[in-house]
Amino acid sequence: MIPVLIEILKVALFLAVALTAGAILSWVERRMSGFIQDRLGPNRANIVLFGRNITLGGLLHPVADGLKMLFKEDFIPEGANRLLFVLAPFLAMFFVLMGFASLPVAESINIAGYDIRFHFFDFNVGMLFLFAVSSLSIFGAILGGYSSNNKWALLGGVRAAAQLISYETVIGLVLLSVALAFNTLSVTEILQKQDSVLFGFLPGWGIFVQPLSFVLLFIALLAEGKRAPFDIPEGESEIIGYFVEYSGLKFAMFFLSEFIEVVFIGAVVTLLFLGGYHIPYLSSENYFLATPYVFFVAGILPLFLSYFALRYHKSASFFVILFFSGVALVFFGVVSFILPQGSVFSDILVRASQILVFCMKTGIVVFILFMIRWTLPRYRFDQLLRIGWERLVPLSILNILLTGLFLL
Amino acid sequence: MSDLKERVQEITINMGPSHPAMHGTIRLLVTLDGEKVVKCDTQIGYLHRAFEKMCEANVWQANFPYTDRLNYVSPLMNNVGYAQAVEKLIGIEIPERTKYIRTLLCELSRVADHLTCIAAASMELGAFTVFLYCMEGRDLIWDRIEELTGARVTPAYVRIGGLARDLPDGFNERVISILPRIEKVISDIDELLTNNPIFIDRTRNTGVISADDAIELGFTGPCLRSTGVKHDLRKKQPYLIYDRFDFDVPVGTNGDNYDRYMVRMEEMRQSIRIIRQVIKDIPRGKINIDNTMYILPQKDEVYKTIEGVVNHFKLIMDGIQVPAGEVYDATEAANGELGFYLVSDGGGKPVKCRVRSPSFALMQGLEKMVVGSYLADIIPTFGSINMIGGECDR
Repeated sequence: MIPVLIEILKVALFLAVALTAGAILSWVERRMSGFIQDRLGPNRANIVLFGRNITLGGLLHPVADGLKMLFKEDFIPEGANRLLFVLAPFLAMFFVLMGFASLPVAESINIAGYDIRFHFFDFNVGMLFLFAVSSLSIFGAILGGYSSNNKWALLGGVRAAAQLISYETVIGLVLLSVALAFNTLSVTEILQKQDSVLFGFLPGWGIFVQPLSFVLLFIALLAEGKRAPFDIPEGESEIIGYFVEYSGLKFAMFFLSEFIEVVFIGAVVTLLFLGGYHIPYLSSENYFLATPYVFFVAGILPLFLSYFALRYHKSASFFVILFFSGVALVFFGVVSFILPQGSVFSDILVRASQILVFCMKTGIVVFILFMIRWTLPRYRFDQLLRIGWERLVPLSILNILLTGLFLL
Repeated sequence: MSDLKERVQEITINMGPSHPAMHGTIRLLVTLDGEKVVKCDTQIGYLHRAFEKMCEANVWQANFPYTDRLNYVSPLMNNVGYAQAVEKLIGIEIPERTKYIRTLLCELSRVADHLTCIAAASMELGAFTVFLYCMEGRDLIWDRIEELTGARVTPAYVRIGGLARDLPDGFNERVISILPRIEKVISDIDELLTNNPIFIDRTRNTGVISADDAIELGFTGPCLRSTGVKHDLRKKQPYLIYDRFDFDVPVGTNGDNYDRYMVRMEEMRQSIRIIRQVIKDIPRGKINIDNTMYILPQKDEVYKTIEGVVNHFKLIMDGIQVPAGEVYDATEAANGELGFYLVSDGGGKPVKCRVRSPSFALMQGLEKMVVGSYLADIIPTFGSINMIGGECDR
């Protein structure tokens, strides 16, 4: 009974974190693009508490957006395929969330005799699962475009389909060579094998074992996730996008699923190429040694940001949240100094620090994705396909050959 | 059977007027084969306000506010163009200082216009950051224009035979001080776009037009120069005082979107070069001619003398008396040749005021430029043509 409860709790927790992360990322992206573009970004949405305007530095904008979309008319255009039209946003969201199922965020932990794993399924073919899910996630876009009874949406759907087919090939070939290099199809094992040192000075991360794969998979996942500069199924200034007919919460689901997909891309890249929760030169048995420092490093960022929140944005509420989350992280760091190794609490803190490392690495990848989005223009449809077939596919085949040669 | 096949293959879609890239002022009826453009039917007129007819209802000098709304990105150039045509019809020689100030404002407007064009075109290509950088540069210019004329978009600053008011104190220094910042913006755009492989892929060999076709269709301005034709009215028939300044006319080779972008970038640098020379040489003196047949009398005179009152009244009510005849005068506006064809019957109102707007001629070429290419190519092509609804539809 209790293992089932634990699983249900995990799912609930994961959904809460993933959906919140999607919403917060929309805020991060807006504020970051504002930073890049010499402007402030959204910071006006507020609630009045005790006669003060609480803005949380713009963090209430996702809430306001959500509320707005909740109360919009749920519009289904005439002549649309109603079933597929309603199904499409759910599929988009579902497959993106499902992708996380096989991603181990931290080592498993034993509490009171119950083994708690930080992922849902430990497939021995986790790579195939990743491959399958990343291809399925684009079906929301295809079906949404197809069922809308709108020519612009149809164009978006067709573009999404073409994009899927070309970049799926690349992803498949790259995952193949990664599997060859690590000699396993299980994501967990790949993660464990990255806990090593290469040539005596490099961390044994996928990015060093398979540098070409890293570049290829990064580009292919960008395209598969419909991120700029490959956001042609949306191409808002060209064809408006496959979701042109969607309104209200259905649109919000497309919107949110896109941000969660960004996290997914970040997580996959982190797991396969950036060593997941591993810290360079530190084997996982000695992880507890690094735990306090992980907390300290993680705590510095909110403290640093809280200074800016107070200094430049004059947002007291935002300052309080950032400051206290920073202080809390530093506090946990101090606690993990004191606690003896092997106790349940210190185990929990070690896992928490692993999650933090994982999140920080994912955050860096997501940050890079956003930077790319706000720097580069968009590719054209045929150029995207040409890059896929003429450059990435040959390169990934070459990559497999090189991997094979290296293994021999 | 073949008819059915055709129907299945091709779809016709309405691009605009409510489409993000069409500015709300144009509708393209695009027939697509997959994503290839088979036919592109350009339908203009969504911003038609009967400019030419309205001009006939007003006295000559009251038309300046209307000209503001032709190319609303560089309104001062329209002011200058109209004033120059009327002055040519009357035969007025404007003071030296006025010529310098008009040149200065034209070149500032040209930079603002080109910045806006590159901003809009790159935003529609997905480079949103470039858009906001450009807007920063444009706002620097518009701040100066606002300081001088009191308005950012609708200055109505030029008068027949002069200007509304003289430059404020320290204006020249402030203009000089914004130039490095605008140059910084231009070099930022340069770094973000000029060598960006995605941008080059999107703009190279798209929206191509040959020099012959361009001339045939009446192209002028950066779009014509991008095809390699070195035609710039500032050099070909120097008006104002352009013959006194040292500047180059950049030309492209291919007549594609990339060349149009490059021509605009270089023109901005040349305009800044002209601005520096203008400000160095700008003479002191009066800004208006001394003829109260055309210029409103001093307020002091109007309030204190009967002649002044009558003079003021006659100018306002009957308008400037322009001798009968007709004139065509053109200036090199940001988008190309902006011509005014004016007919006068000797009275206070124009009998006919025809505008030869560059955008109108450019829009004729759109179909030629996009047919056979992809749907996505319409976006940079339309962006680099820089169609301004107010000017095209009038």
